[in-house]
Amino acid sequence: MRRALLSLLLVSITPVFLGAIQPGRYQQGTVARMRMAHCLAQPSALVRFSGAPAQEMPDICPEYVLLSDRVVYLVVGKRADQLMPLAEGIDFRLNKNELAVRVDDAKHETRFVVKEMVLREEWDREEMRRIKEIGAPKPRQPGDTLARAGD
Amino acid sequence: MRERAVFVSSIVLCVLVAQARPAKDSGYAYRASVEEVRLTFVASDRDGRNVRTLTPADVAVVDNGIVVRDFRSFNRSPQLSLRVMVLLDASGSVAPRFRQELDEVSHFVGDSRWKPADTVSVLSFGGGQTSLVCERNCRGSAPVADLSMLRANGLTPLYDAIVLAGESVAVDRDPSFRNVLVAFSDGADTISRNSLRDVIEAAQRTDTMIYAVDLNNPKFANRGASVLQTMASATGGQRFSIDQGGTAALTALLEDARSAYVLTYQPATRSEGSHSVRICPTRDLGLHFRCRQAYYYENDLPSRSMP
Repeated sequence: MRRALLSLLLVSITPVFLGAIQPGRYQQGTVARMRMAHCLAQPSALVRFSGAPAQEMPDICPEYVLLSDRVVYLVVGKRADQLMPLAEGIDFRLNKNELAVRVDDAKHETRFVVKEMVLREEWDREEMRRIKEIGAPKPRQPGDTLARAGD
Repeated sequence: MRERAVFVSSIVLCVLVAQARPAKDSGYAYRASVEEVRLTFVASDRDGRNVRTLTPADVAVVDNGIVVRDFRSFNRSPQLSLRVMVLLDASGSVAPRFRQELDEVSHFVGDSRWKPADTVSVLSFGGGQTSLVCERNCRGSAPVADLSMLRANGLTPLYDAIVLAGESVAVDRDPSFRNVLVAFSDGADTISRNSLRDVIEAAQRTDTMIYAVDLNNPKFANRGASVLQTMASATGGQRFSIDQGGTAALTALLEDARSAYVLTYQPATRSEGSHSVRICPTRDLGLHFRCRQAYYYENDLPSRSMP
């Protein structure tokens, strides 16, 4: 019964993802989060089979939450200093299991490993719940007292 | 000045209202709901040159992982005066280089590039103690002459000295000054009650930048050098070797002061305590930013019962 339900869920979700993700074509997105996280080790096949010592991986790499219209991507850089532009809108495209971001006015791309993907609606719901829990700041009202945090 | 007047007036008003109406008579709580984080930062390009032409669209702040692009204010701040405290390590561990250290400090303090409104103080530490050599007016020749009376010996209360110096320069939290500590030291603390973490937290709380002139031999890796680098990086400052000297530190300090930006924004969340913070480029990934790596959010605004 459970297996049948899972299969049904998979069948129903797959077309949504496939419709939302168009490999190779540039899409627009915005980075909403950034943190330093563990790097995703990806030794090459040659290294794996040869038994040669793997190239030293950096301990931490930048991890970004990239919002597009329909899908939210959690991507991780391959180096500690691999940055993603945090502009309001950035151009990116999917290539296999990587996300290529256009940087420096489209002179070249930088590639990030896709760690997770979730539908935008689901992410928005979770975000609303989180904001309710921790309490996001309210917009400034006339007459409010001004204070400076950590200043 | 005006902000402070508004803040003080609000507190006085709250106290008067609370006295006029006992708290038990009312069921409402008043809590101010506006907060603002103020970040001072310096931007440099791929070649390490400071950049003075940024606009708000060029930068984003990452506050506890959340990207902030909407700023309340964004300005260059070359008009800010400097309030500098020089920390002079007079402990036994720096005795072999003490004369060179004194020369460097003398040149640093007596340099002609200071602006008239800048204030420079000198605090020495060694033998388990700290002492103020001169306060705020050390740019004359007499205080520099006092330095020659100092002798290097005893234990090194580096962390305690930095915490004390930080409190001293930030005592009135005057926003028209930029607070800076310049530590001439080997970074080897031996007797402080405070820890390295306390030092960084104290500096970050008061937005005080730490610059360090490292007295260790630059040819050898040293834990003290790593300590000084950590302090500088966490507060938006820089570390220099003794071979580069105090002159290089002063040049960088003045260059940073002339090209620094100040931005303010509403914090992304109200979680109390330390907020990690960094500034990132929105377009040009060759830009590099230096600022304090954390600020402290304290929700301790006046809470009073209102009718």
